[in-house]
Amino acid sequence: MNLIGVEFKKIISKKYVWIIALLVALFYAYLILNLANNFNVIYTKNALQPVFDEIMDAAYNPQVQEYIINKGFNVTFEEIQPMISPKITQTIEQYQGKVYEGYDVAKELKEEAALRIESLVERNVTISQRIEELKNAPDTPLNRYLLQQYTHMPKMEPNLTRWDDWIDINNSMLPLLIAFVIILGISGVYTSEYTSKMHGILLTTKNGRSKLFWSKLLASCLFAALTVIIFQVFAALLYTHVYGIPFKNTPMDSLTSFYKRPNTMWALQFYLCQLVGSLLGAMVLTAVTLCISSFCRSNLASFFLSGIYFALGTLYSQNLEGQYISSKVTIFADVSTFSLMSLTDVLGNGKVFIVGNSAIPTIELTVIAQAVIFAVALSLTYLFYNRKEIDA
Amino acid sequence: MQLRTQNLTKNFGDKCAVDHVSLTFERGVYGLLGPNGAGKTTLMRMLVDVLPPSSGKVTLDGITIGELGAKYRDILGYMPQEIGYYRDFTAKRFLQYLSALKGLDPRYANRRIDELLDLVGLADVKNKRLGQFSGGMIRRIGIAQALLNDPKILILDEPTAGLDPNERIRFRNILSELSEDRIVILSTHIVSDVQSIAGQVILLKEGKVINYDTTENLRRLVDGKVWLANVSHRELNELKQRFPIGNVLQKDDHFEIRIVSDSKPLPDATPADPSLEDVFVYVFGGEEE
Repeated sequence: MNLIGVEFKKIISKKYVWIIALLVALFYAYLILNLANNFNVIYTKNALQPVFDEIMDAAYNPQVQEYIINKGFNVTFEEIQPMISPKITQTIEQYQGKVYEGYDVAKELKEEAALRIESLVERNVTISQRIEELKNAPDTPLNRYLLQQYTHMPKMEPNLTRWDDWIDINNSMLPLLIAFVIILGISGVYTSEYTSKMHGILLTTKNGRSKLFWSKLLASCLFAALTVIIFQVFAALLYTHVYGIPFKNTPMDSLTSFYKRPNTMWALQFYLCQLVGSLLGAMVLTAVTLCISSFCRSNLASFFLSGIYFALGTLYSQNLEGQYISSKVTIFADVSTFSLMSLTDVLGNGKVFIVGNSAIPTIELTVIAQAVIFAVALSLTYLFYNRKEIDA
Repeated sequence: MQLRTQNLTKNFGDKCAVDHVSLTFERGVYGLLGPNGAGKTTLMRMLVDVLPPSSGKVTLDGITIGELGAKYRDILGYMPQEIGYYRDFTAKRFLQYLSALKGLDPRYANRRIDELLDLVGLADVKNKRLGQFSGGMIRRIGIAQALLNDPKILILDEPTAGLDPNERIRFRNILSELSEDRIVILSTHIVSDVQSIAGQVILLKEGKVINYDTTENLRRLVDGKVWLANVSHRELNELKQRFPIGNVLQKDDHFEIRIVSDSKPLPDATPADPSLEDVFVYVFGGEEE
């Protein structure tokens, strides 16, 4: 008899797991599909993507740059129109006379095009100034780190690729939903032995709990991995439906959310890291949930304690988002399981933790801390699960 | 093979559930008898190494069962008072699951499962989910799982509770056959079961062994002290205050009762042959079985 299969079947045969997972998926789909009718979603990026190269050329055109800088980063499309490719104007004029929810589409697109060019110029100027400041700044670990990152950033591109939206998949909502379903499915793995009163018999079998420990662990990891895969695929399908697949890869520093962050990654690379982080985080959460389940005697207590573990890290992390330095106060949020599952804050913002004369990328600490939590949780699970009973 | 407890003690806070119990078990059937809270289940759970003792030890042929670990569990069959089971498992799947945990070869296990399901009269419902089983059927599945590995030491906590008379007789016969070459320890509330199966009886009260002897010798404890009498309802209530009363049988306009008393309790009382139930009444008085 394949015990892993039996244990996996026990997890997935709980009807409430399926029902709640389905409700969670529907709620998530409702939230995402609600964005589908937004003007920006329908027109802005879709309409301007065919002239992506022309908008980029415009932003790097010294004549355009000089004009925008002289005008204090406040220009209209008509002002820069003579200096940019006519293809941009031709593309926008295809929408002439079209109105969407009260918006004159062509007029809005002209404003958007000007804004993208202006914004790209402004960002390049700001980063150049920042590099100059850092070159003249005192030699501190943070300044060295920032200078190293800023000078190695790939060339910035117009933010027209949809990666802003795709990277947002794992920002907060999806990791929360995945964690919820994992905790729901796994929190009863060991406690169910007490609720079903099987513990007495299991403790007296030859291989007993030591064999079951591995079967239950592997079955739980399989369940967690499948939950991550199913929800990530579901989210990707929803985002493909609403936003479409990004038509090209782009540097992270081109995205509005990560502008000026010391991040040298490319968006696709970051998204793949998020998928790996989601899977690894799910494994850590599985280990912690199993650990809690191994010493609790009720499914509900195990569910709530596991939920509290994840929620505390999440709440703490969400309140501290947006900085690129991990302090002694924020580090606990930065190394949380939620941070590993999301990666938006620690890796997206290129966070560092200063120790002595070194700037350590926070993501390294997150991975180490989570590996330690995983190992400790499993060791404790083994200890708790294989101990004899202590009460009557 | 000799299973021994030496000064075995278990405390739960201030309460001493099992108090310096020293017993020796060799081949045969042993019945644990005592009122509720006497420490029977606690003693059994220490014997199966589920509950660590506060002091004292359990040894098998001189080696503590904790040291023996898996080797001890390999020859152990245990049926707890409350049988645990997974409601979604069928009877056969449940036994296959436990066979795997007991380390049985799958081919042998399947053969053994069929034999045991037949033995406990559940062969016809082997593919039915345990959630649909009655209390008696669950106890029978509990007995089958304890026998899966053909254990040399079989420990059964209240095995006959919830079984109907036919099932109890069938179970008693199974145990009698099994007892030839193994140690069987059982606790039960049903004194007649102990009387028919157990060669040795251990009387437990408040965690202490009150008496430990053969059924025959225990019965001698109340030789000449068991009386039969016919009394009215009013007399019965009066006698209950003065003597331990055993069986009460209602006849047309009176009650036929068994009284356990050192002296003749009533002028017209007649002596009766003692049973183990009379011993129970004599030793534990009016305490609940």
